[in-house]
Amino acid sequence: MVDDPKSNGNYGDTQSLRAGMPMATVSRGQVGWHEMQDGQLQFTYPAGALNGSQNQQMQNNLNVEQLNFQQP
Amino acid sequence: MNICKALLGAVLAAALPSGRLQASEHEAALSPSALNGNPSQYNRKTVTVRGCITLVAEGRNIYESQNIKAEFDRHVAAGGADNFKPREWDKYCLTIANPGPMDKHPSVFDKQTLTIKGKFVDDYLTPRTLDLGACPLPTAIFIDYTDLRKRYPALFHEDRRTRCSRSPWTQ
Repeated sequence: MVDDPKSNGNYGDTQSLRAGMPMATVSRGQVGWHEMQDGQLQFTYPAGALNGSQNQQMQNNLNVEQLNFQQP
Repeated sequence: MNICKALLGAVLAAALPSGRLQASEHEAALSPSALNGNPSQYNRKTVTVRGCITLVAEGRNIYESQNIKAEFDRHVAAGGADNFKPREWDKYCLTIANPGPMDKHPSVFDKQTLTIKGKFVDDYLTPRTLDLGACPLPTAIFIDYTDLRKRYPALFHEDRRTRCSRSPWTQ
């Protein structure tokens, strides 16, 4: 469920947000959502879907992916 | 003496074409940033580009070089805490529009530095087009796989072997 912004120019699973659409990520039958809320990137997922290190990695990814949507 | 000259001539004649081919490949190869820097100049034209391949679930592209990719990865891993400006890195990434033949064995091609011939387009991504594995810029290359197989037959060897072994007609 954790995305990989290194592989596609820092977007990871937020590509669809460029077109104004949220993006669903399905992993082991569970669904997480990347969305933009008032200019802030967020990822919503079912409780227990991410362990501690995955949660930290996802937070890191969100922090760096947010930069794609900032004004230059 | 005449026999020696004839033999020497034969050896030189055999060696030069190969050497010229390798030199011209490198001389003609452009970087992803060179293409992305002048997209209208190369639009719809056949180009030769050299770079590091990324071929994974979420991305497929030719990146400027392994060193620059490693540096980019370090910035991403830092989570933006090091004054990272991702848009300044967009020019180094060129989307592969048709990864098909490479997608059969992505691990064979991922992280390889290759010289690739293909058609460059500057409008692969549009406001109405979404490609989840694309680079940030709208540019892309359609790879000429006939040419790629000639350049790197060993990379496609596993592909050929797998197809043959899976065929019901070859026992």
